[in-house]
Amino acid sequence: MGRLVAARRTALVSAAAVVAVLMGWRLWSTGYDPLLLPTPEKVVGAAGELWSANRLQDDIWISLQRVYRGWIVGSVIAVPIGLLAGVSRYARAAVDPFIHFFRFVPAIALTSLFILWFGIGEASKVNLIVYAVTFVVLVSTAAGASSVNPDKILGARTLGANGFDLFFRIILPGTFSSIFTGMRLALANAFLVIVAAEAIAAQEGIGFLIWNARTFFRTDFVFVGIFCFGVLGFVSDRLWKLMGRTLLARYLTDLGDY
Amino acid sequence: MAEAHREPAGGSVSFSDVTFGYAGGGKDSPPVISNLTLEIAAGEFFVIVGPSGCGKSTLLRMVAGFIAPNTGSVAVDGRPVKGPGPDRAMVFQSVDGPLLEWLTVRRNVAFGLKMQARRRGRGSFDSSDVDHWLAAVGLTAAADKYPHELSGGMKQRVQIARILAVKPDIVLMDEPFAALDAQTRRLLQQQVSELWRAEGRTFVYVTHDIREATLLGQRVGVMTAGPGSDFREVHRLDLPYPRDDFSPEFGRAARVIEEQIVEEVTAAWDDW
Repeated sequence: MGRLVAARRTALVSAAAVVAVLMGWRLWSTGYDPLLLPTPEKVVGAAGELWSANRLQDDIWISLQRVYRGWIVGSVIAVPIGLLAGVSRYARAAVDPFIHFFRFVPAIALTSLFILWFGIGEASKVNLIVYAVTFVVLVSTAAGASSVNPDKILGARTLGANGFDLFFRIILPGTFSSIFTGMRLALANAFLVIVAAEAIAAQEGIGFLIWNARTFFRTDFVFVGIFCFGVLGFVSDRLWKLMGRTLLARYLTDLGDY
Repeated sequence: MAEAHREPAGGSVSFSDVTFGYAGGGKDSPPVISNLTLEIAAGEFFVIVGPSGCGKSTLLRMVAGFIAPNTGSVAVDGRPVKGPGPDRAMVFQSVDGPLLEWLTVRRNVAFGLKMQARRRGRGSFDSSDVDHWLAAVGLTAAADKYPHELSGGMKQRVQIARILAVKPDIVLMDEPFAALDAQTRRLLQQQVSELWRAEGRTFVYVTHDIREATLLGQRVGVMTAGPGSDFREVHRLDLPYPRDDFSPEFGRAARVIEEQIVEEVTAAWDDW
């Protein structure tokens, strides 16, 4: 069976599964109070309502900005520290206690603190995402940097590489696949945390849409918000994967297809 | 012997009364190598064989400068080894470990030359050197491929090309073909032997394969079973190159080595 035929078949299976679930939802929702489970049409109508009021576009845009800013800033902080922790025993000893403490403190637990510290503006929301992203990328980067094959390093040393060369020509490129995977996982984390971030004193954003809809018993708006997160997350993940397959392909030969 | 030799470009290696134990082995744990003394002449092809775990690779790593003896000394051309350097390059057993997957074959081979050029304060190097070594190991057609697109045998040829490109005095090979299939191994053994005879560098070669040892080595050192290994006997093989491994002389030489290793392994079992 050709690759293309196989790909088309798996795509067909995915599509069929989605249609089946939508039909199940449609059937299930007819007997229910729309406040508990709105029908698919009602959700589509609600999306149209929000779109024509220019609400949905704004909410999507503002949430995406927060997610991406937090994700990028968090990764920029995490990668250098992770690399250092991966290659230097002492750097690792210094950051390890903090990593393994904060790794288990959920971002949601910090919401009130972050409002106190960073105010009710964008900073507190973005910083909450930065926090959620940093430790995931850091642990992944450190694990990757410390597991670069020792023969690569010894081999490069016998060929005349100095410490600078080892770091920038062996360790860093050898860690790209771990950084890539860490950032992919962290992106999902950023989407998880945006809901908590937008629960705090927000006036816009998909998370705000969901929290606000609850107040007005608009369950259909809640569904619209859920779909937005799902689709945005899915598309973001695919784009990141596409970048891995194109720009970074030669660094990621050890990653599988998933 | 070594009829076709140019002036040896190689360096001599001397182990003097070397003892080595890995740190963390505990105070009472015996050393891997005890009081070992050996002289390897410049331009010589020296093969080290012995039971598993006897410290063959440890010896190579000391010459490479990755580790230092606890007592005694390892010297190259009379100067004690202080750390790794391009005068002593190593081909590793691991097929996937040492190569840089994100660089093409050509850039992998050029890596050492680039490092050398940087150390000399120049950014550039002679790319015809790279072409020469790619051709010498038969990889010209694969120059623009990435390592994951190559077979195991080709990857080992990339390793060989990239170290020969930096013109080391001493070539260290740690079971370089152990992970390859028998046919590929045979071809690469011939290739290594030809490269050695053409260039006259010193080769120090570790292997488990007695046939390989007998095919390649001017001298073959048989180590005792550890702990506290030393050389049991160093055999000088006066067989002309290229060697015919179906000849009776070859068979006799290989058998003596084989029997000594079997004795060492058996003795180690009895100690358990």
